[in-house]
Amino acid sequence: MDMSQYLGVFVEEAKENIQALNNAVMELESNPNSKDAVDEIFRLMHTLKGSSATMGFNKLSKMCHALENLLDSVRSEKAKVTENLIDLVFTGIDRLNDVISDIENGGDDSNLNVEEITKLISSKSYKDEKRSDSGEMEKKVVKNREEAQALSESVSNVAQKALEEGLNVYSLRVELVKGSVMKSARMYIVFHRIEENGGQIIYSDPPVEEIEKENFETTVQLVVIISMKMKELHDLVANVSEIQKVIIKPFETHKNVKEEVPESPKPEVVEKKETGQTESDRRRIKLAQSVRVDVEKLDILMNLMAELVISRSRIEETLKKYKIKEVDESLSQLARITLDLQSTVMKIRMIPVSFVFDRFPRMVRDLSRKLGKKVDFVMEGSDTELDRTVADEIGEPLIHMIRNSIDHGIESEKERIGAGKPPVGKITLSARQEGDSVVIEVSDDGRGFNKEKIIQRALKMGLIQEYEVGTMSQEEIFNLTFAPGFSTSENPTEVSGRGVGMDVVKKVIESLNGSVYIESLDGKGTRVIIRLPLTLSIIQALLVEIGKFVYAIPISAIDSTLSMKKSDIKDVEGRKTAIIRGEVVPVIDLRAYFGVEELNGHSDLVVTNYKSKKYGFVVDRLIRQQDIVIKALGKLFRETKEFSGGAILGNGSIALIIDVPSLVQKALER
Amino acid sequence: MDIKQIERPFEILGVKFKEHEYAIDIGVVEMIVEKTDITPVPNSKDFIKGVMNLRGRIVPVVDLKKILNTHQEDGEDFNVIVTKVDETEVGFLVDGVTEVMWVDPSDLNSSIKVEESKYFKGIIQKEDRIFAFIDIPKFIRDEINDDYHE
Repeated sequence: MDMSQYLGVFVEEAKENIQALNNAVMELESNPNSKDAVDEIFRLMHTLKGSSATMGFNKLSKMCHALENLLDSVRSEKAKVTENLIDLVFTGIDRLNDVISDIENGGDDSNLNVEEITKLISSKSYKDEKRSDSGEMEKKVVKNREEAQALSESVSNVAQKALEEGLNVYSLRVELVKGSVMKSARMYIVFHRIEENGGQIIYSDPPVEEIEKENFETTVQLVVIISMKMKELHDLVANVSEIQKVIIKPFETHKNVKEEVPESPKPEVVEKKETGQTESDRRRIKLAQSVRVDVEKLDILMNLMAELVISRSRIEETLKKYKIKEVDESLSQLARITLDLQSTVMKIRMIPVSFVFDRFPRMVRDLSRKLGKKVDFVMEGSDTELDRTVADEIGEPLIHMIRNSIDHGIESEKERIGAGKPPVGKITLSARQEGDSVVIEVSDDGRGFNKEKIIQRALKMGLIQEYEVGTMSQEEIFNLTFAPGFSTSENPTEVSGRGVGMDVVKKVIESLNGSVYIESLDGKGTRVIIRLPLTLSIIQALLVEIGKFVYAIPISAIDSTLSMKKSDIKDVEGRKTAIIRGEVVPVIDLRAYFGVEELNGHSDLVVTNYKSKKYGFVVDRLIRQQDIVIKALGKLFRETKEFSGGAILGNGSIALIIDVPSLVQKALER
Repeated sequence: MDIKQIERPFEILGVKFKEHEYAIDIGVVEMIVEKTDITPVPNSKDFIKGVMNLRGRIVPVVDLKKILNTHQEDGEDFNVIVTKVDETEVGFLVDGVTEVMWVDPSDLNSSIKVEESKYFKGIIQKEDRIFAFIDIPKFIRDEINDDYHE
C-alpha cells in the first residue's frame, strides 16, 4: 500500500509525540517516582513505534522499541530512574527527533543508529546506582516459569486497555526446532507476520535485542495484541518454517498465568489506576474534538472568503442604481455573515503559543546543566493564541532571548547567594493577549544590564559619541544592545553580553510588525518584552491615492496626517523637508518616487515613524482607514522592497501595501 | 527540458502580437482571461506590467513582448495567459490567442535561432504558418525561481 499520502500526518504526529516525550521525561526527571510519567513515556513511545512501523520506518520503530523496553524495566522496577537513564532516554529522543526531521525533508530513517542506543541500554551503564549487575543479567536468560512473574504489571495494564477496546490479547510461546541455524531470522518472521496482521507485540522475553543477537535458546515468550482469533494467530505463526511448537492462550491480566489453559476466554477486569485513566481520557476527548488541516487549505479558504467579500460589494455597487429595499436588507445580512465568516476563518489559523513554548523547558534544562547553573523555568499563558505564521517565526528569537537569560543573566549559584538572592535562578516566559496584540515576555532575576558597560562598549564600537552619553535615556542605552554584533566583544560575558543575536531578534520581530522593548535593573534582573500583532494577514491601513492608484500604509507605521500646500515643503540642501509642529521632518514625495503625475495642486502629508524618527510621505489624497487582508506579491517582486504585499479592495482592484522602513531607506539612499 | 527529447506530438497554444505568431506549450497554461485592470508596481523589473486580481489572488503580469525583445510598439494587449510552473502563477500579456493545436515533433525545428531572446525553443512550422516557440518554464525558472544569487 502506498503510505506516502499519510507521511505528512505521520511527521506531524511524530513531532507532537516527541514534544510530549520531552515533557514527560522532564517530568520524570523532576519526579523520579512518578508512575504517571513513566506510563506516559511508555504510551508515547508505543504510539510512535506503532506509527513508524506502519509507515515502514523499521529502524525508527526498533529504536522506539528499545526505549520502550528500557522504560518497561523502570516500570517493573528492574531499573531505577537515574540521571544516566534520563540522559539516555533524552539521547534516544533526540535521535528520534533527528530522524523525523530527515523524514520530513524527504529522507528516511536510514541514518538512524539504533545500535548506539541499544548498546547503551544493554550495557546498563544507565544504572549508575544499580543493584547487583550480574544477577540482573542472569535473569534475562529465558526461564519459563519465572517469566510469568516477570510480566510486569505494566504489560498487564496495556493488555487490559486493549481488551477494553475489544482486541484480543494472547500469550504466545514459540518453540523453534532444536539446532535451528537462523533463530533470529525465524523469530523476525514471526514478529513481522504478527505486526503485518495488525498485531502489536507488547512483551517479549527475551527482549528483541537479545533475540536479534541470537541470545536465546529455542523458546520465546510473547504477549500479542491482535484482532485475530486464536486459531488464526496460531496458524500464522506455526506456518513459519523451523517452528516446532506454538502454544497460545488468552493472556490473563492477572499475574498467575497457568501453563496450559487453552480456553477460558474472559479475563478478569483489573482495577484501573484512577489518575492515569482520567489523564488519558481527557486526552482522548481533546483528540476527538480537533481535526488536522493543512495550512494551505486554510489559505484557500481565506482566498475564497476574500472573493466572497469582493463579490458582495460588487453586487452592492450594482444594486445601488435600483434602490430595492428588500435586497438592501438581505445584502446587509450577507455583509454581516461574510464578516463573521472571515473572523472565524482567521481564528482557525490561530494556534496556542505552546506550539512554540513547549520545546523550551528541555532547552533550558540542557543549557543550564551545561553551564552548571540552577534555573527554575516558568511558563505562563501557554494557551494564548496567535497566528500560525507569527508562531512559526518567533521560535528563534525566543531561543536567543532565553539563552541570553541563562548564559548572561542568571549568575552562578555562589554569586547569587553572595548577592543575597535565592540560589536557584528564575526565568519566566509568559504570553498574554492585549487588544490586537500578543505580548510575550522573557524575564529573569539575574544580574541585569550594566548601563556603564553597555556605554563603554558602544563607545568602543563607535555606535555613540562621548557627548551623546549624558543625554541618553535608559531605554536608548538598552537599545544599543540591538546593534548588530554588539556583544562580539573580546569578552562577551563581561558586558553582560546580551547582544548575542539581539539584532537578529529585533529584525525578526520587526519583520512581523512587532516591537521589542527591554527593561532591566542592575543586579535585579531583566525583562524583554515583545509585542506582536495577533495576525499577519489582516492589518489596519490607511488607503491613499497616488497617481491614479490606491496604496495602503499600515496604521502602525503612521504618526499623523495633515493637509498641506506645496509651499509648505522646503528644499534644504537638495532634501525636501517640512516643518511639522515645530519639528523639521524629511519629506518623500511618493508621486515623484513612484514616477507618476501629480493629480492637481492638492496634496496630503502622511507622517510616518521609522526608527523613532518622523518621515513625511506626500500623497495626492487620503481615502479612508480600512482593515485589509495582506497577500504576498510573489518572488517576481523580491527586489521591490517598497511593498510588503498587496490587498484586494472592495471593488476588486489591488492596493499595494507600502513597507515604510524599506521605502524610507531606499528613498534616502537616492 | 531539452528540445531533443521531444519525441511525441504535443499541444501548443498559439498567441499573437500584431501579425506575428508565437506558440506556448499548453501544459503550463492554467487559463486564458481577458485583460482586466492591471495595477502597476513602481520600481519593479522592466518587463513587469503589474499585478492583477485573479479570483482573489494577486498574480504578476509580465509584458511578454518585452521578454521577447521584439515588437516594442504597443499592441492591443487583449488577453492575459495565466501560466503555472512550480506552483508559481504568472500572467503573460498578449495581443490575442489564435488556437490550440497538436504539433508533431518533426514540425519543430530547434536549430534555427529566432530573434534574440534566450527564451525561444525553436520554430514550429505548420503548413504555411510559422510559430516561434516560447520557453515559458525557462523564463519562470530563470527570472523568478532561480535568481537568488544575484
